[in-house]
Amino acid sequence: MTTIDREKLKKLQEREAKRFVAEHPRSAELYKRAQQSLLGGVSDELDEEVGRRISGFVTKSEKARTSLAPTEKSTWICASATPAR
Amino acid sequence: MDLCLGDTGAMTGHSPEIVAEAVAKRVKQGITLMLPTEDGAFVGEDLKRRFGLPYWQFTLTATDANRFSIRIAREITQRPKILVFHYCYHGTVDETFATVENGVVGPRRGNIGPPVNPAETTRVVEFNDLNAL
Repeated sequence: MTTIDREKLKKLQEREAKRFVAEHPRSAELYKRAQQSLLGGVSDELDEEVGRRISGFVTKSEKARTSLAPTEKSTWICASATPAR
Repeated sequence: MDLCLGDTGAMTGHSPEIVAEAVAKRVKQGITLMLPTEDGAFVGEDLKRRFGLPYWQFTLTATDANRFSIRIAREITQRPKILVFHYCYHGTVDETFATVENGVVGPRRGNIGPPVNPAETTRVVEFNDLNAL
């Protein structure tokens, strides 16, 4: 049985978190700011806890696309619950 | 006349125009509930300013809010049981579907499929019974 290399996964998560901050500075800023007023810096702490290093902040969602602050570039992120259908 | 002003309607009346307009505007921007929004960060700060409580969490229903509140209360108090008033309604939180009959706590009528007997999780008192409370 193939096992998950947790160390490698951790490094990849850290790398992606850094890249996310570089590409979405506004989301990174909001995430830091929101930690002063929202539990965990997000709307629903339990929902967003899995694997989280940082959270994107949504500016607009339409059909299967979600835009994160500050970019207007549409990105497939996680069509949650109803939008997934 | 609505004689059953439940939840939000009791606080603001039904569909105040300013809220209806804001909701309609937001719906056109998409509704996503897994990731926070920029507006969410502002609202957290404004709730903190208005009510003086340091941290906030958003839920979609009162049931969900009650579940979060009970979990936080248990964590802070380290007490396993909660207390409810006889026949009060707190959404579909399992622990709250408990009543007291002749001093014995048990499942409320219509409580379908409780995970455990609510007597294990809940104490129930009659409203205004200060001694029991």
